[in-house]
Amino acid sequence: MNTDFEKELRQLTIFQNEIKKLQTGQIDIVTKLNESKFVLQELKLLPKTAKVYQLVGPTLLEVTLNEAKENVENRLDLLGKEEKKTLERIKETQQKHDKKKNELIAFQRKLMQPKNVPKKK
Amino acid sequence: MTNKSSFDLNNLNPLQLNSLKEQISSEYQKYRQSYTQLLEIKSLYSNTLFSLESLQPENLNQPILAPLTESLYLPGKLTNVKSVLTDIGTNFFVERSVEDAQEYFKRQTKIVEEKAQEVLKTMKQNEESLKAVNTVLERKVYQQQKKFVGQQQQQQQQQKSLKKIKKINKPFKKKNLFF
Repeated sequence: MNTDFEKELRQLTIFQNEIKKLQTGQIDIVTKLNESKFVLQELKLLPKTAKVYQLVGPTLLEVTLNEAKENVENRLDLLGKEEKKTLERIKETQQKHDKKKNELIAFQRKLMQPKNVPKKK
Repeated sequence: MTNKSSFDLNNLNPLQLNSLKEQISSEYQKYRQSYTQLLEIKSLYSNTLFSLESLQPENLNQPILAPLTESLYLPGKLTNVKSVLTDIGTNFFVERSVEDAQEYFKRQTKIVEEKAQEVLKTMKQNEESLKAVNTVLERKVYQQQKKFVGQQQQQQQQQKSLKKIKKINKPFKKKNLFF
């Protein structure tokens, strides 16, 4: 009985670790999202004659203002979608985790009961 | 943060209060980190503003040392005192005039200052909630200690009364033996 309990407990800790990883990932995505929003804001403030360059690897390429805006907007879309996905995954694993916890508690109660029976005898 | 005000701290036992205290102090560390980071960025901007001041038209064709690596510099001439490339994030650079760049960095310092002030506010709120948790925790621990001491005293009294009863019972037994 104890080994089963340990197995379930291990599953619970696996869920907990997964949730932590997903949360740190989500924080990364949110920071990238904020940075891109910032860049878009800055690009919108520029006059149309301004020159914009993009760092692609070790090279600095000139891009038009509209191209740059489009690039950043696309990036924002992608990041938004990723954020939604990670939020959903966090919810799912949280639900699984809570379910496991309840199962473990019920399991613990069962383990406690048979100890009382021999005392009555 | 507002979730903590929705339940009463007095309803928690010392263990829960302790874990809450750890949670709050770890949050405080994070806020402190971001505050120091913002201050660093602010000083970076002031440094760039300072270096931009040297890009004046009178400094045209002045000799400069351009860095190739961290320890290798190349002698050259300052040929461009009109425009600079400013990094706006996510690998994008914008060519601006020196005045526009100065304005840009002044704007950025304002934004960073505002954010730093916000972080300071939340840090203060955090400190206050930590104080509240600490006072409730101390009170509860004190109460528990009092209870414990009271229980110990009760036990000691019980033991004393038991000893008295034993003392009264013993001499009767001795008399029986002699018979």
